[in-house]
Amino acid sequence: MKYKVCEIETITPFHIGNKEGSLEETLHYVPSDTLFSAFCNVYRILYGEDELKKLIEEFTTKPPFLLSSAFPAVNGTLFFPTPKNSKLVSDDEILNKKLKKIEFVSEEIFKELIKEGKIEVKKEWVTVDGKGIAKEKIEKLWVEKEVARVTIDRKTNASQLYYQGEVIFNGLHFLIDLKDENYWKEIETTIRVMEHEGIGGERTYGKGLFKIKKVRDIEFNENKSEWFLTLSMYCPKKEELKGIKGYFEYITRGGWVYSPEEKGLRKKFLRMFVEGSVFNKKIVGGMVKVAEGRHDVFRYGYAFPIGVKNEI
Amino acid sequence: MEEINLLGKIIIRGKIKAETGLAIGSGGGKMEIGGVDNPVIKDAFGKPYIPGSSLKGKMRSLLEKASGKKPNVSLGKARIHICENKEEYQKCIVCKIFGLPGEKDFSEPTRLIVRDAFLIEDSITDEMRKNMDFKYTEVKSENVIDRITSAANPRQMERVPAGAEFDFEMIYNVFSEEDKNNLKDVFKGMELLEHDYLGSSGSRGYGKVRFEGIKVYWCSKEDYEKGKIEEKKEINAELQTPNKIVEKFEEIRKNIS
Ligand SMILES: [Zn+2]
Repeated sequence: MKYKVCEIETITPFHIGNKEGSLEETLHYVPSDTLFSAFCNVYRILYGEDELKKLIEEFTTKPPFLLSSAFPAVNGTLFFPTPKNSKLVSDDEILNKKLKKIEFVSEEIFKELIKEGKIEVKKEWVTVDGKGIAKEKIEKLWVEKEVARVTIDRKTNASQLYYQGEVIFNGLHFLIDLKDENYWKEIETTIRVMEHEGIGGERTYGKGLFKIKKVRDIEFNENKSEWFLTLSMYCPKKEELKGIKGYFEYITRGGWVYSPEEKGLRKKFLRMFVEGSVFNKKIVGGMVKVAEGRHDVFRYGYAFPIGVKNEI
Repeated sequence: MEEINLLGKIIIRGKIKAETGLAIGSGGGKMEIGGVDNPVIKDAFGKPYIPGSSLKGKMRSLLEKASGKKPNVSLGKARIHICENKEEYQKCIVCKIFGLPGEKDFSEPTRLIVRDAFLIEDSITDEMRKNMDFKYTEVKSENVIDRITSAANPRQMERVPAGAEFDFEMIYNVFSEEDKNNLKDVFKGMELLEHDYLGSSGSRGYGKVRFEGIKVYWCSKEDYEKGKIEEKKEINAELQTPNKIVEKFEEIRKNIS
């Protein structure tokens, strides 16, 4: 299967909220649901509320395109989440311990893993920060910092210091599976406006700004088996869960609604499978309603399935 | 709500120059033993910066005063003006530019986004460093006399030295023809700020700033559609200070089409 990959250069630090109430914590990539909601916010100011409603409606029935999460990229080397069913092996005891912590693998290694399920890792492949492996020399996938910010208590007027996590990337990339060609112009325009709008938290302070480096095609030698890996956060429909097996981890997503009409409305907590999770059937997922206010609020929960080798 | 569609974005970039020492605090209180009483706010790399929220807040309150808006809402230390109904809002440039709290049912997307302004490292010269206590800042000791007990209370103020420069960026969303005209008020706000001060201790001469080398870019919806944002030229020609821009705003306005 051919997909489009959008490579971006990040200009400012990102803040990708994860745990609610914990400003210090930030994820090290941009999950598909965050990416989709940033997309929708811009789509709305570009084309209006009615058009956004139409788009969301299409997504609740037949999605015109699918988005992956945005993963780190360093000097043109794209990283992908380590498939949960893959075996990274080596003869070296110390290296073996390190391999357990690998979160991302380079495109080249990812392609081998979805085909073979297994790879022998050389010591020099491990990135300096130990978060990923690549056959070329890579320094760090990201740098994480804590920044002091000031807030003013509305009741006591006292200013208070708090710390906020931010992550500085070299670059990011995400995949688009364009199912309806007619949407391409709008998608491209929206992503361009997103450059100046930012992705993730604290956008008004300048977090999450980027520049599109290039958009090109990418292809994987997908395995013809019935096993699939997801490159997005995935929330299965109830009926999909019947007889599902796999290698996976999940995460609980929460947070608050952000739209011109709705601020301060809580999103329903939702448990989702993380990127790199692998299942024994074609996974689909869908949109999940997570709040009802002046308008319904959905969380993007479509899988971004890639065929992989069955290793069970 | 009326349909809000983006016509384009105005990107304003330039430098903020500290003409006097700048004391934008990180909230006061003793942070660490041996530290100063009133530390300056710093980024992840220990460099001082000007929070976008401080810039934006100050510009808002100065524009409110200048246009005779009565503050009616308490927001932290400041009392600010917030329109109470849609009719009032439709005529209010301040709320249009700077936004409304989300709960208002006539709320629209905020027009102005002010990014944090980061220190230009080279603006701190070796000459300046000779008189400085830290890599990027100086510390002033002051005696504050308690008016009741007459006791002297020595305290220390950390500040960014005069001459320091910061990169700033503001993004202004244009949803209507009216927004194009209202852009002038953004520069008015900057001009008013030059006549006021940023941070604390303005009455003692701190916080005087100047905007320099301003560049204004217009990215229309069409530019975004065609992916031609990069080729965009600035639309303000030689008008590079808030004062000049306000004075000759029509020259810029005609380039926003
Ligand atoms: Zn108002």
